[in-house]
Amino acid sequence: MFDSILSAFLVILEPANLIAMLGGTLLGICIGALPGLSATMGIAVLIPLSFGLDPLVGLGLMAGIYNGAMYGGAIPSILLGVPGTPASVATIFDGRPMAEQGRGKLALRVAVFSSAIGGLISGLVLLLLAPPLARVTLLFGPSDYFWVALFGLSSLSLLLGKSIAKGVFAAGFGLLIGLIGIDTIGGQERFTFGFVELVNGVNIVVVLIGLFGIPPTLKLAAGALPGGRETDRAEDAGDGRLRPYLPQLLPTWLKSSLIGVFVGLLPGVGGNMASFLSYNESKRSARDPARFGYGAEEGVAAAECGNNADNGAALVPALTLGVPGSSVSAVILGGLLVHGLQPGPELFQSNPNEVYGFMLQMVITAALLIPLGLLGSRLFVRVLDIPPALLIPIVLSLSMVGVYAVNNSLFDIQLLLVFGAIGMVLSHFQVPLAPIVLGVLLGPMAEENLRLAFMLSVDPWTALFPSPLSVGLALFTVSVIAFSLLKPLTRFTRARLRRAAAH
Amino acid sequence: MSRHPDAADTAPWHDLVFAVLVLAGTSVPSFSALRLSGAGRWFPLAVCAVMALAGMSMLCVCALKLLRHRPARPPFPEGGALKRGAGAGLAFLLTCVLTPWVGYFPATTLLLIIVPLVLDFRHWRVIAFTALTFEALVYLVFIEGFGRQLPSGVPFS
Repeated sequence: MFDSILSAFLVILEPANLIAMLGGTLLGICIGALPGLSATMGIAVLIPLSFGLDPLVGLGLMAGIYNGAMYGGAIPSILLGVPGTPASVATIFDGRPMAEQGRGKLALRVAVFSSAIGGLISGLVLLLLAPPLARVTLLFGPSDYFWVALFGLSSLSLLLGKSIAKGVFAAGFGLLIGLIGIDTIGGQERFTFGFVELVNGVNIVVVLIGLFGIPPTLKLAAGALPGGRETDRAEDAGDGRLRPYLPQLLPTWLKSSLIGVFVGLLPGVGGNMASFLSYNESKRSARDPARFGYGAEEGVAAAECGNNADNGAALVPALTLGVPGSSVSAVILGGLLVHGLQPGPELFQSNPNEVYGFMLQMVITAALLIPLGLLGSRLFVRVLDIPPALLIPIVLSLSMVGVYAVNNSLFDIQLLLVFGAIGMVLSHFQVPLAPIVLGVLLGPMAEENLRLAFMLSVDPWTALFPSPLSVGLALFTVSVIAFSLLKPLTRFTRARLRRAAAH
Repeated sequence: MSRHPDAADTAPWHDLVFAVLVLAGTSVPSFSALRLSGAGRWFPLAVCAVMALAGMSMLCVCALKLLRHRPARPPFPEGGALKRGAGAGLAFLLTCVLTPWVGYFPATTLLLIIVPLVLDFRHWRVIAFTALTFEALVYLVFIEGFGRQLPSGVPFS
C-alpha cells in the first residue's frame, strides 16, 4: 500500500495536477461562498469538462472543489449571517457575533484552520484506513440509522437553546417540513395542501436561506442609522492572530475531527449533522458554555472542523464499496466512472495510482485551504465595510437567485418569502432555528428507517433493538434526553435549597 | 454587539403568545396527518403530538410565571427601526412578486434602488455602480459560468 501511495504522490506533484488542485480549491471557495451553489453542483458542472483531461487532473479539480466549497460556506455565515451551505449553519452561532464584535478576521482564520485540520485528518483517514472503516458502514441497519437520527435531533434540540420546549418544537417543525411531499414507502402525498410544486418536498436551500438569511438582513436594515450606516457593529480590530487561542482550539479540533469522521462514514447522515454534533460537544465540554452563541472561537472551530472532517470519510463507502453516502460522493463516483474507474473493492488493485492519487489530493487540497484562506481573509473581511444600505439589497437579491438557481422554480421564491416570515416570527420568539434545519435533513431518514425496521422485524417489540449496536445507540440517545430533562430540574432544586439555606 | 445570555430572556407575555401560536399551528398538520392512511400517518402524528406537548409545557410554564409575578409588557420597537425594517421587507416582497412578471434583473435593480432610499442612502453614483457590478457578476457566475437560468419575465418568455 505504501509503495502505491509513494508512487501516486510523485504523480500528483506534476505541475498540471498542482494547478488543478489550486484552481479547484479556489473555485470551490467561491462556490461555497455563494448561497445556492454547492459542491455537488460545482462538481456536476465540471464532470463533462474534465472528460478530456488526465484522470488525476480532473480528480484534483473535484477534490479541490469539494474541500474548498465546504470551507467557503463559512465566509457568508461569518460575515453576513447567511449560510453558504447547510453544513455551515452552526458556524453562524459564534462566527456572526465575532464579526459583529469586530473580530471577523479572526473568525475567518479560525474557520480556515479548522476546516483545513478537519479535512487533513479526514483525508488521512481515507488514505490509510479506508478498507477497514468500510466495514463499519456495513454494520449499520435501519434501526441503527433511526437511533443515530434521533440522537442528532435530540442532542441539538435539547441542548442548544435556553428553552427545551422551544428546541423540541423547532425539531418537530423541521421534521414536519422534511415530511412534505411523496411518502417514499407508501407513495401518498403528505402536507402538500394541493400544491403540485411540493410533491417532491421542500428544498433545504429554501429553508436555510429563508430562516437564516432573511431575518438577520431585515434586522440589519432596522438597526441601520439614517444614511445607511450600521449601528452596532464594531470596527474590525486586531490582526486576527490565531496563536493565543491555540491551547483552547487544539482539543476542539481533535474531538470535532473524530466526530466528523465517524458521522461521515454513515451514509446519508452528512456534514450537516457532523458540524452540529461537534458544536454541541464543544459547548457541552467547555469550561464556560455561556460564551457559546456570543462569539466563542471554539464554536466556530468545532462547527468548521466537524463539517470538513466529514469530507474524506464520506468517500470511504463510496470508494471501497461503490455506495455513495451523500450527494457529493455520488457525483464524485460519477466523476470516477467518467474517467474509467469502477469504484469497489477492486479499485485499489486495478488503479492504485488514480485512487491513492485522489486520496492524496483530498489531503493536499485540505492543506491548500490554509494559504488561500489566510490570504483571502484580508479580502473577504472588507465585505463588512460595505454600507448596510448597499449590502442589504445585495444579500436579499443573492438569496433570491440562490433559491431560484437550485430548481429553476418561481415557487421556491414564494416559499422563500414564507420561510423568511416564519424565520422572523421564530427569531422574535427566540426559538432556536438550527433544530429546524436538522429536522428537515434527518426527518425523511428517521421515518424511512423506522418504518423499514418495523417491516424487516418479525417481533414489533424488538424491531428497534435487533443488535447490541442498536441497544447501545438507543441507550446513548435516551441518556442524552434524560440528562437534558433532568439538568434544569437539578438546577431548580439546587437553587431552592440555596434559598432555603439563606433564609 | 451581541447580547449576553442573561439578557436574552423573553418576557412571559412573549412566550404565552408563542405557546398559543404553537398549539394553534400544530392543529393544522395534525388534522392533515389524521386524514392520511396506512403506516404513513403514524410518524407525522407522533411528531405533531410531541410539538403539542412542547406547546402545552410552554403554556403551563408561562401561566405559572404570570401568576407568580406580573412582568411589564415588552416594549414596542422604536418607530424608526420598525419603519426601516418594514421598508426593506416590503421592498423584498415587492421584488419577489414582480420577478415572475418583469424578470430577475429589472426586479433586482428596483430592490437595489429602493432599499438604499428607505435607509436614507442618497449616493446615486455608488448605488448605480453597485447595481451594475452586482448584476454583471450574477450574470457571469450563474448564467455564463454555471448555465443556470434566471426568471426572464413575461415580455421575454
